[in-house]
Amino acid sequence: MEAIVIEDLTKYYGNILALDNLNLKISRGHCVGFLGPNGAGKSTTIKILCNLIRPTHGKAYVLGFDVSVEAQNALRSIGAIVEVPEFYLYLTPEEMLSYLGKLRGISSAVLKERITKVLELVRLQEWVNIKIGKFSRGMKQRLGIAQAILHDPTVLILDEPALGLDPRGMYEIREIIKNLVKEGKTIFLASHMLHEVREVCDSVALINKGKLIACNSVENLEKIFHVQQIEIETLSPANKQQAKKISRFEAAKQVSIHENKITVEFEGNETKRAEFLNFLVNNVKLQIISFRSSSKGLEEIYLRFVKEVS
Amino acid sequence: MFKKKENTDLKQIGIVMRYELLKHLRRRRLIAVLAITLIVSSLQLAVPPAFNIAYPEEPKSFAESFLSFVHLLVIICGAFFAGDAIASEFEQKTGYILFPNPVKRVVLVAGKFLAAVISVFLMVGLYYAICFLSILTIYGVTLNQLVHSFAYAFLFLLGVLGLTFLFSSLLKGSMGATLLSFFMLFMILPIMEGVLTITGNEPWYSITYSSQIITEVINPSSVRVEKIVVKDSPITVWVFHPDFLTSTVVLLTYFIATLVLTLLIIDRKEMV
Repeated sequence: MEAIVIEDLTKYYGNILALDNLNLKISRGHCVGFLGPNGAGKSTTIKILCNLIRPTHGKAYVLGFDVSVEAQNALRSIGAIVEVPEFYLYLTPEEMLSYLGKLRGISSAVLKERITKVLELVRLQEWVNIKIGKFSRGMKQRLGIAQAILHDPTVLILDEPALGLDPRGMYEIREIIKNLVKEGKTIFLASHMLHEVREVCDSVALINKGKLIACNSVENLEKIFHVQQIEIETLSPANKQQAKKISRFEAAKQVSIHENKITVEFEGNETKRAEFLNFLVNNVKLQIISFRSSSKGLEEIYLRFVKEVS
Repeated sequence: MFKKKENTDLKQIGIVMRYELLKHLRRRRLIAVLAITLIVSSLQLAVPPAFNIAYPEEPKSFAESFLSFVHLLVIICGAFFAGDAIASEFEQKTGYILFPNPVKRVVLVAGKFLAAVISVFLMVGLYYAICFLSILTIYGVTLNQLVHSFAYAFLFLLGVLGLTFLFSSLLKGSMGATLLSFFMLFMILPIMEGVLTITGNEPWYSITYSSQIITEVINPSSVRVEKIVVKDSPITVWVFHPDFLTSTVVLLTYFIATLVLTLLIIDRKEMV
């Protein structure tokens, strides 16, 4: 069963076309990144899925429930962050979460446990009794994550969840999302942070001017566009001979060396990457400190797509 | 995964109402209106003796004079407790947190409306209690008409809150909704009534005109319309006394119509 199904979704704001017959399917248990430039229609799609606005035409289903018709049933399984979350400033995080939890029918005993757990998870446990009015933007963002996962939803719709967070906060949010994916949750993640998407999502949906322009796994997209990049850090700079050897490796399409850093445009799957690492250590005799796929591949795809459509 | 109970609409209304009441408490609006109520009551009781002016001879006249503030009290309370009830969810963007919950918007409006009704009811009830005790202390009697007056005041507060909720659902800003409802009820409608009265037309359909039954019931006039012709002048002064049944229906109509309109608007309103 699909977790999210979007069929011919169209939305006009007056004369402005925000979504143009958007079609998208997200299977259960998958984490899909939703990418696109500002004004591409990401927030509009998310708002329709959360029943905040109605489509002009088309349907959106969450776990089989039409969001516009059976909103309560659809929203029961959704946890969401839409735009920058704003809360009632006169409440404390505990009161705020308690309000939302009670509205969702969570019993008092379970709710207390859940509030403690989610506030710990987003590292707000020490602020539990402080009024939200005193919170910074980053703290409100953390609370936004807490309220989204409070009721243990099956589907998470997250609009820029790491916005306004410091690097540590971003890392923690990524870890939370990764754990949610492991738990089998379906995640629909709109973000401009491509490395974040690269790290947590198994596939991406690219949208521009309200139209879906690509939807595939990150790996497939990189394969199609030959833009997978591998960044290698070495103990000492590679010499000319070593550089030549690297270039001879079949899957390495382009090699650039800058001091201790080697960037390789790579074409191949995980096995090929493992082979390449083995080759670098045993044949090229490089002393490798780090070896990782870079998000620049996704960035390249994103830029190409947006450019092509424009 | 843990179990979640299916919440009934009624239970959700109760939850929304409780947190809305907490809002009024935390934002000190209840305290502010309570202070206004107590200050006005104290002035009504303290000013005449302070200037050696005797209280009216009749307890009914005292009650009429004391309760003339109820109209304004209800309008102030309406602006305080209902002006931002809906508009703020859109303006402050708290709706992005509240609306993606499995709660009907009708339920949210009902909970907020009930919280506003309770808050205004408490303040108006306190004012009537002070009036009742003052009459008992000063005149040694109780007035049954106070109960009727209180019932009419309750109808008026429902109408005022309905109207304020309607403005709150129509406008984007809380301040705009609050000011519009306040000026509409305190200035615009009374001015319109004045103009209509001068021309000899009874503004029976106006909520503020109908609210006059709050004081009218204390000492009802024997005539509905008084026509006073000023001697040697072309001016004719008209005085209308609102009919109780008509005014009751008008107040109820304002309450029901505005609330239904609010529900229709809020159900369609988009959180863009």
